[in-house]
Amino acid sequence: MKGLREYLRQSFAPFRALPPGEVEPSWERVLQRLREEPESVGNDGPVDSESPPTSRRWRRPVFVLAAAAVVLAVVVSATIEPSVADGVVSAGLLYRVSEGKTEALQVGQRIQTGEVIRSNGGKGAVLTLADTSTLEMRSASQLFLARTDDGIRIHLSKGVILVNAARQRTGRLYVQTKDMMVSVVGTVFLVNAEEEGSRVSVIEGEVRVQQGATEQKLKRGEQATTNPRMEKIPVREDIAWSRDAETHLALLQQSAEVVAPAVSKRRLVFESISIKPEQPVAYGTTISSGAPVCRGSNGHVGSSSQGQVVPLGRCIGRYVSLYWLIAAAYELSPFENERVFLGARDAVGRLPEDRRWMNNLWEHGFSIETKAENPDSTTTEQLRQMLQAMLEDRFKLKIQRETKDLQAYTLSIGRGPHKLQQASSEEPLVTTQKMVAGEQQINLKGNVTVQRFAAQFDPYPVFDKTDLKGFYAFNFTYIIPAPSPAAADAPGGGRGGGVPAPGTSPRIRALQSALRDQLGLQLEFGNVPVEAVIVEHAEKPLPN
Amino acid sequence: MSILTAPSVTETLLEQELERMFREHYQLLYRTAYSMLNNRADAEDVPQTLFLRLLRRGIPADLKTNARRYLYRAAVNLSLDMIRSRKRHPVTSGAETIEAPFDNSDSEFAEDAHRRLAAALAELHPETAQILILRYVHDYSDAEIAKLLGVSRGTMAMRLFRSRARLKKLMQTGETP
Repeated sequence: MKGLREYLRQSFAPFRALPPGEVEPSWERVLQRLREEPESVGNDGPVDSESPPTSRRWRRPVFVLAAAAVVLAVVVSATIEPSVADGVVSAGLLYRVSEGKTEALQVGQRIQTGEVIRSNGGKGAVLTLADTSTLEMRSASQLFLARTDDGIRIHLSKGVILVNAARQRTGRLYVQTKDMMVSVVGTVFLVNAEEEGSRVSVIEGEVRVQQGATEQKLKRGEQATTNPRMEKIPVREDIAWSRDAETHLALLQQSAEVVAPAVSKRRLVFESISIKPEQPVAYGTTISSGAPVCRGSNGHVGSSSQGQVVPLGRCIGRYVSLYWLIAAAYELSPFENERVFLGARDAVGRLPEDRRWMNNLWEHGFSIETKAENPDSTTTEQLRQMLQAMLEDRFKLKIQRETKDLQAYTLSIGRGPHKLQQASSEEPLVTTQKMVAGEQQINLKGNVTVQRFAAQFDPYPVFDKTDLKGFYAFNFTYIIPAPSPAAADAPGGGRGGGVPAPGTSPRIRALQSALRDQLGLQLEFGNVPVEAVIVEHAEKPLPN
Repeated sequence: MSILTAPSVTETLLEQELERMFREHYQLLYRTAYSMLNNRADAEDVPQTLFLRLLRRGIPADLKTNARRYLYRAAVNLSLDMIRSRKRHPVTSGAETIEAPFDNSDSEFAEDAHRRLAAALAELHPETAQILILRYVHDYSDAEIAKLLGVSRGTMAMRLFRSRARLKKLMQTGETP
């Protein structure tokens, strides 16, 4: 086998030394092919990641299926495709904009895909699509229609449209703005495209809203905006301009959620903020802080080091980096390093030069002290929201959120009832370790949340899935047996290999049995969907 | 009042997101394809074709979950399809191969060796090929391969062992066409 390994190394050696490919012209070529090639050329197969490619064994059946699919596609396209996305003006006055000229469109006139359509003053206008969906355009709105592989896409460049989507027989109806895409199979909703972002309000049914890599579902009465600074207004007010406002309102009133839940939600900000750059210290110097610590009325965000006491309603920290501020503000712990994306890294893992300050707390750390308006009654969740507002205002932070799967351990309640005792107040968790006859005995004692307890299982943080709220009194001990000579070579038993798989680490086995026996909790390994944050933009704050 | 023009298709959100992914993962996909196809033009074609399809079909859920894993797997699968396609329609000229760090006298041998290796890879299960390329082209450790492909280290080590055994058999018995 060694000969084969050497052969593989030698055969692939030239490719390990390849100069980088040219990204820019290659992307240009993709766009060029998108414009020039007929769809079948670039689309002659699925974007196939999971299933194996055509194998010799399956070639014939796959060919037969493919041939059948082609025949079906031809039949379907011959019967359905023509003018599927075309529309007709069914009420009001619209204008077709072409090469700088505008042409008025009267009721009954057809609209072709790709034509830019604008509504001017007055009550706007109504378009009816070939599938009977209707688009009511508010005054001063502009859009064009396009066909997609699986339906119709309305590109809304500005203004407001109210869509009554017919149930799609085969595909979906999409509304695209500059920063989001809404997709439906049949419902009534409103999309508002403004300079600073987009807003969607659902009147009936359900829509999917995609912003970047993040997708969320909205139901009747719910509203979403792409920019937190955009005002959320009650859905009933959002549809007041419509010709059919009464009908839409009646639909809405069937739901209890007529007013967008976030309407009454005030943007929470600190009463006072002090951010000062720290004096740079040598890279790698041990620093006792790094992450901010906040103390709310119901617990802490982050953990204080060296017995530091944080007054209520405040967030403080020395040598704090932007990275740790984001992790605290968006609750991206544990596995911060996989959940905070500061930028694309090079071959040796470095960030682009203009972004390295974001996680360099030695040379670009900050001293931070903030205070809430009502420090005695501010909760940890409210403090997190205030941190988010501070990052937006002072660091000019712009982010995208996404959900990703991590392979990690989760803590949940076992088959029987759990054995945890609730505590009335918080006491910091203290970890002690001692060696007894070669065994490592680890004790965790304190009154903390299960989430905080689970996060202490260094070096493999655990996600809390117990849904238990409040503080619990922990006095938990687990014993890692003395390693056998063979254990050092066992897969997953060594260091630096990431989270070990179940059953492969003595520490995990010890934890699993102790958690089950002492607390009635279950430690499992698997995919855990977590929220991640991608930093699009940030600036160093001005000191004050 | 200025006249607004239609939003360009290239300005859409989907394209922005895909362009970001293209830039982020291009080198991995290009190098992967080059190592399997030994031809620059074909290697450039793989990420281009992948993203052309994504532009036309939208972003699937799996891509959102783990873009690097999805794109890498797709690039290997597409490259394997191209190798198989070559066997059906062999290219006899115009192929630009990389400058291998072998002596000139060995270059023909090296090219032939790669052709045989590529043919053997095409006979393997795609997942096996994915592991071998990560190990021998990208120099990934067991842990890094396991993480990218979303399997445990134990599973990955076993697959790597089996893939080498299968490849050895293919190369020794001349099962490769």
